Amino acid sequence: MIPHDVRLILSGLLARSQKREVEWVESKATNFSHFGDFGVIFPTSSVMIWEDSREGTYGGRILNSRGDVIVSFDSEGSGEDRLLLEELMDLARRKVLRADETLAEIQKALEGNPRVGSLPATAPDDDEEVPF
Amino acid sequence: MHEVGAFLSATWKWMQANSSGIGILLSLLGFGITWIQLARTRSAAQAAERAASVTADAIGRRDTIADIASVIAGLKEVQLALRGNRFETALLRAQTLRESLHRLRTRVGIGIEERQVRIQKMVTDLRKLQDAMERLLADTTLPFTAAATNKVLSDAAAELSAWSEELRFDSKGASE
Repeated sequence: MIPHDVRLILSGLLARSQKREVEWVESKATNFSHFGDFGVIFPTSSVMIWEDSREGTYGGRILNSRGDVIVSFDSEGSGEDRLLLEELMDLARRKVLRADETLAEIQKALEGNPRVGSLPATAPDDDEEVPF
Repeated sequence: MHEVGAFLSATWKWMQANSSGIGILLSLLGFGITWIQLARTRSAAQAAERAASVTADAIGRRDTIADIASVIAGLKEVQLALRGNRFETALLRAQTLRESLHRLRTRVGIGIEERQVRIQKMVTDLRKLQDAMERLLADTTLPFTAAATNKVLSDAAAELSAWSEELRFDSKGASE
């Protein structure tokens, strides 16, 4: 469950993320492959969210400047909370993986080039024998 | 302006009425000497104040450099503990490192927002590392490889090292 004041913060993050105004970072420190883990780092606090793909749940925490957990929350018990965290996770993942930029590059390539998807021509086989 | 003129005129009249000509000249001479001495004292005080400020700044920077070195050493200890699967040691060291990084926030040369954000990232990574260690200690069957975590710690150490070099360079510049 997400406390009311935290939901306001997450909703704010969602709105700013939709405008691509949030720098999400992926955390690799957890080291457990079934955790997708993203965060927003402020000067003296952090908002972390994650998806446990094994359990099919979402959760998160807010840390203070010492790295102490000041609030924990999860998606259990509320469809609305689950949807909010799911959307945030999706936007965070897109940001970290530069999905929008990649899709835009593909779109640009499709519009601009007469031929797409081809690899550069390889050099013809050199029949000369290697001198050693 | 008119008021100042009137004040000087009145003062002159009072001095004529209450002092002899030589007395006035001596008074003016004494005033001039006192003025020069005061000006010299003031510039000396300003120079001393500036020197004290530069010294305090240099000492502050040296403190920061020493604290950064201590954090880097701590990060290396955590890396070694992880390589040796000594998760409890890594957990405890990560805890003290978070405290050290928190103290570093207020040190000379660290106050800028960009560095505060980087410290918060390090603190967050260490918190997550602690959580991971706690899970590993609770469930020893969980798979764990140190490489990814140690890369995060190495990046943090490299960044802190760069700050330290920058501070060392700045402090030399300030003392020259």
